[in-house]
Amino acid sequence: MAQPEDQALAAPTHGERLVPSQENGAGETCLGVLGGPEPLLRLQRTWGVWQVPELDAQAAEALLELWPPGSFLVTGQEPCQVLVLRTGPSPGEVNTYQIQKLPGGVSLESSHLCMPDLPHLLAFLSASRDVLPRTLLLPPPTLGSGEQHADTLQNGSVQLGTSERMISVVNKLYLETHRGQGVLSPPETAPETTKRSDPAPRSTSPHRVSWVEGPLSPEAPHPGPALASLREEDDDQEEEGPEDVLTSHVQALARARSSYVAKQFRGLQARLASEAEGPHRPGDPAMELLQDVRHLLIDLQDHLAKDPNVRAIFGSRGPGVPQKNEEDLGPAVEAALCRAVLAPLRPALWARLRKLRAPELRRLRRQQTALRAEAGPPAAQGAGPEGQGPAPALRLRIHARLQHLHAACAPRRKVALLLAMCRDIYEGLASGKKPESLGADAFLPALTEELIWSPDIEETQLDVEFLMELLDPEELLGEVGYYLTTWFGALHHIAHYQPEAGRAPQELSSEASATLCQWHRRRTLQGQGHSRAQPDLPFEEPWEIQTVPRDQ
Amino acid sequence: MALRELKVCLLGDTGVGKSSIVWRFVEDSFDPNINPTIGASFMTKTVQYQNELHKFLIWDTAGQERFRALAPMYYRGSAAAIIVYDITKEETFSTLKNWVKELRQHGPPNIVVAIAGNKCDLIDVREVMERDAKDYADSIHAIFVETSAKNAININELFIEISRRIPSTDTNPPCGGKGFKLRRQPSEPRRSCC
Repeated sequence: MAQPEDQALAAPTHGERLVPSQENGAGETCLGVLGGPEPLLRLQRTWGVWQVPELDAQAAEALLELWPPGSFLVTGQEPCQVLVLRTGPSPGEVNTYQIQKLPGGVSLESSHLCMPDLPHLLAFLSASRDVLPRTLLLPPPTLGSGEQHADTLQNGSVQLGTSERMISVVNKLYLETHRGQGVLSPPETAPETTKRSDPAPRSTSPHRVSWVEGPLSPEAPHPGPALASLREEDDDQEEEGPEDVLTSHVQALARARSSYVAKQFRGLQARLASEAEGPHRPGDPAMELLQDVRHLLIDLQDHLAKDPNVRAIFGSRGPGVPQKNEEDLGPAVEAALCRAVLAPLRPALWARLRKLRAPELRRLRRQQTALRAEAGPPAAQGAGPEGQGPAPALRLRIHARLQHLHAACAPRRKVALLLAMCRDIYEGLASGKKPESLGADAFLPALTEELIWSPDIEETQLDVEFLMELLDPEELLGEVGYYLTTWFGALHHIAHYQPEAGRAPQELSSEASATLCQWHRRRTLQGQGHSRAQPDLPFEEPWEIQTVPRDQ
Repeated sequence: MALRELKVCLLGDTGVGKSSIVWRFVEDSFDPNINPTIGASFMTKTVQYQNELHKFLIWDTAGQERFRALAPMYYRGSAAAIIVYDITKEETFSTLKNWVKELRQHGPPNIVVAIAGNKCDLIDVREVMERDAKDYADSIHAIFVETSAKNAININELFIEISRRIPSTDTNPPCGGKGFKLRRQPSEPRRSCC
């Protein structure tokens, strides 16, 4: 959200406080720098979203790490309330400020500004930062500005669903307005066995504006609210930037009757929609499908990068936008392809992958359940089969990131979330230990532990395979490749764990071996002619598996 | 100067000091930005060797027995493997021999094998004789050094020797992209995609 410039305020003399008058001569509320009642109304309507009295400061900080800078929460009960503010994009950039109750209203500690109540104070701080390092980012409005209600102060609230598997922000105003229209009861949560086609669905009932599904934290049955991002949805109001125009252009090409993009797009769409498996090819059909998706995307990326119209759109820039480099064209086209081509195909692609991987995913889920049972109730033990689990707030953050990972579409975004979870796991391990002791001996068991207690482990498996197959082979040698391999390994360990033996098998399963052979073969073929240690040597197959390379 | 990326895999029992060796190698440097990585499991360091730059991409593995089956995922495609044992624990040297056997059977052909006897500062409680370890390393044509991550003994020498043993290659420009690249990001993206 674009933040207004700080307004110049006449500095009060020492000990004085600025108390804005409540009314002007016309009897209207004076909002000073706000220039209108909208921020105040928005805060009043979302009271239950930003005010969470039962949350402690640590949990509030953990939640704010998931939200953009400027996001805030108010925790604690009067008169000991605290404003918790995310001040910057990096981990740990979260500050707390005491809110003081004064005869004339409320004020931030060390501020000379006093406001009649909390919404007025926060509305002011969304326009002028006063003693804060930055202005506040307000929660998105839950209602249109035309709707009125007598009780505007309790319109939104955080609620834990009756099944204890859903946290949601319920818009009470909507419930009042639509009483008797069949939307009062929250939607039934899907039973464990049924699989959603969209990993992060939204309820069709408009009163449910944010939710996280799945067991939120085994150690904390009633954790603080895991809210969706408070990011402003201002895109409609903004002028379209070149990236949006590029996305629109690619979308138009995908819809056109005779364009190359449309033909390729429709071909894959038809394949995903049809029940027939298509021409039989040796190898893993799920991997073959992902390879076809990769071929399509890379082919379209190359095609679009040469398109004069695309280059013209990419080259265009609004006032104040710096000149773009030629090397930025590829990533910009990739982003447009993700929005215009991959996103529409994703539900069908994921449904097909789930079907092709059904036996393996069932096994993984079964093994996860067995490992949880073997560990006993985590709330009682605080540890699982792999050892000590992290703090509940950290686990909550990891689970929230997993939900975002499953919902994301672009490989770049998925990778960023996966690496962020790796950082979270290291953070959980790091307390009091030397950093050099936090190698794979510590990390792999900790990751395995997190996956054992994670929701939607099948989705995680599909995401890891999707990334392994879609990423450039060069990427798979470096940090991204290492952590993807480690996630794949941890999932394999869970899927093939033998409880009676107390360990995983001594050799990789044939499916895992085949998968790795495919990935490595792709890397080897990609790397021929590169500066590699063994560029011309044949790849020695350690397992007798009949797989046929397709990337030649 | 040509840059070569060399994947190096670390193997050995848990607790022998695998990640400590790498941490010492990577962090003993005057450049604070040398390693912008997440944790100590994967680390990189670029060193000059003759007229080339060698960028070591160091993949650590979990040494616990229960994760043993996952090792092929890590050593696959490696230019070199460093197998670490603890000179004060005989059983870690026995495990090392099993790793050598596995690499010979299933590892990449021509992989450079280096054996590192760590914790050589603890000579009072030594259980593995240097001579025995050296003879074994010679018998399998492996690099051998005794190291101390604690006292920074022979750490750089280990990696210099790996650079020396890696076959030199003619460097060609990379061939066309075969998948999504992550390294270059568009300047100032307005919002995340999808």
